[in-house]
Amino acid sequence: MAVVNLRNIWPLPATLLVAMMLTLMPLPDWARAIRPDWLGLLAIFWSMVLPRTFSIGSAWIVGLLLDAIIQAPFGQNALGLVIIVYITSRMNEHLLSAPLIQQTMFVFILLLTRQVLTVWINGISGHLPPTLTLLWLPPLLSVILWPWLFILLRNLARRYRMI
Amino acid sequence: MKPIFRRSPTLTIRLMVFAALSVGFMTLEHRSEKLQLVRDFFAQLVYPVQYLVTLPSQAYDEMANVFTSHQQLLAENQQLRQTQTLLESRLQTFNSLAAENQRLQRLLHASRKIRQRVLVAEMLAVDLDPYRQKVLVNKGSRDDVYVGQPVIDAKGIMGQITQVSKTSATALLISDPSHAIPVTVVRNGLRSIANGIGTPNLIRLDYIPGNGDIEAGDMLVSSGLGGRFPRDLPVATVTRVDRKPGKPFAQVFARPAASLDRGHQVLLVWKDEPARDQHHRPEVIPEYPTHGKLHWPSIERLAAEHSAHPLTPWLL
Repeated sequence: MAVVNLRNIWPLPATLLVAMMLTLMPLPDWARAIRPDWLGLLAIFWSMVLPRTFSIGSAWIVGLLLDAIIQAPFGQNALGLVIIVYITSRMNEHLLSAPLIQQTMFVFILLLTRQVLTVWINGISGHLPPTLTLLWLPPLLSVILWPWLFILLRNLARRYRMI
Repeated sequence: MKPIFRRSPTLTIRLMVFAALSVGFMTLEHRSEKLQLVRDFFAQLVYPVQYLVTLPSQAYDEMANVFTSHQQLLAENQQLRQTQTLLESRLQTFNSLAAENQRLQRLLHASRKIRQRVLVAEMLAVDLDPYRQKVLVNKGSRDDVYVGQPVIDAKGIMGQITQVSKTSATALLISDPSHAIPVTVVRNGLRSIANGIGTPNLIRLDYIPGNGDIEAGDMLVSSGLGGRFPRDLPVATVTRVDRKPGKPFAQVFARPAASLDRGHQVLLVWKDEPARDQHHRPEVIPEYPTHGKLHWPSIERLAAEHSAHPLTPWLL
C-alpha cells in the first residue's frame, strides 16, 4: 500500500468507467430492478486496497458523475458512495485481513446501507417504488459478484503494481 | 506515532463536508433552478459515455438492416405503402374538415392556432435512474429544444423535456410520480388531472367525483389547460374505475396511449412562442368585440400563416 505512481493508476478510472457503462446498459424490464450496484462494489474495492488514492473526495466526484449520467437527483449517489467509502476506509485494516466470507458479508451490509439511503431519498421526493419488500434483493445479487470481482480486481491491481 | 489517529479526524471531517455538500446539492436542486448550470455541465461531460453505451444496440440495428432479406423488404414496403394510402385518404377528409373548422373559429374570433414545428428525435437506448421515469433523447439546445417542451410519439403524449444540454435532453414521462397532465374525457368533456404512479403502463386520474361519468374504455386527451401541452392529443385509455361508497372521489386508472419504453423515435413539438405575438395582441382580449374596427392582428397573422403552409391537422 505504498503511494501509487501515476503511471500505474489507469486501471482505477478504467474500471470505474466500465462500471458506469454497465449501470447505463439497457436491460429488460424484469432485470432492471435487480441490476448489480457496480459502482458501489468498485468504490468499496478501491477504497479498500488504495485508501490513499481513492478516498472520500474521489468517491464524491464519481458519485456526482453517476448522478449526472443516470439523471438521478444531483448528489444522491455521491452521498451514498461517500458514506460507504468512509466506512470502508475506517475498517480498512480489518477488512483486508478478514477471510473472504466475512468480507463479503460486510460488503453486503455496506451495499444495503446505500440501497436504503437511495430509497429513503427517493421517498422524500415522492418516488417510492411500488413495493419495498424486495429492497434487499439488489444488494444480495451484487454481493454474489463480490468474491469474484475482488479476486479479479486484486489480480489486476497486482499485475499493474498498484498494490 | 500512530498513523491511524493522525488520519482519522480528517477522514471524518471530509465525510462531513462532502455529505453536507451532497445534501445541499439535492435540496438546492429540489427547491430551485440554481444548480441548472452545474447539472448541464456534468450532463455535457458524461454524454460521450451515454452515447458509447448505445453503440452496441445501434450496431445491432445496423447489422439487422444489412442482413434483411429482399423478400422481407418487399413485404415491408408493401405494408408501408398500404398504410400510406390509408393515411392519405384519411388526410383528404381531414384537410377539408380542418379548413372548415378554421373558418368557423375565425367567425367566433377564436385564435386557436395550428402548431406546426416538430422535430424527430431518437430515444437513446440507456437505462436511467430506476426510481424515475425518464428517457434520454438525442436532440438538445443545439436544435432549440427547451425545458417544458412536449414530447409525443405516433400514438400520444409521452412527457415533457426537463433538462437540456447541448446535444441531448432528458424527458420526464407522464408515468413519473412527479408528472401531472390535465386531461379531458373525449366522450363527455369531463376534466381531470392524470398523475404518474411510477410504473410505465399505468397512470392515475385525480379528482373525479364518485358519481362522475367515466367508465373503462373512455379515451383521454390532453385538455391544453396548463398551456404546456397542445390540446386534443391522446394521453391514455381508462382501464379501471373503482367507486367506493363513502369516498368523495373515484379511483380511476388508465393506460398511456404512447408506448413509454425505450429505443424508438419520438417527436418534439414547438408551440408558437407567445413572446412573438405579445407586441400585436391587445392587453385584454375582448371576448365579443362589438364596436369599431376589429383590432385583432393575430387573425390576420393566422390567415397569413394559413396561406403560407398547407394545413396539417394534428390528429392523424
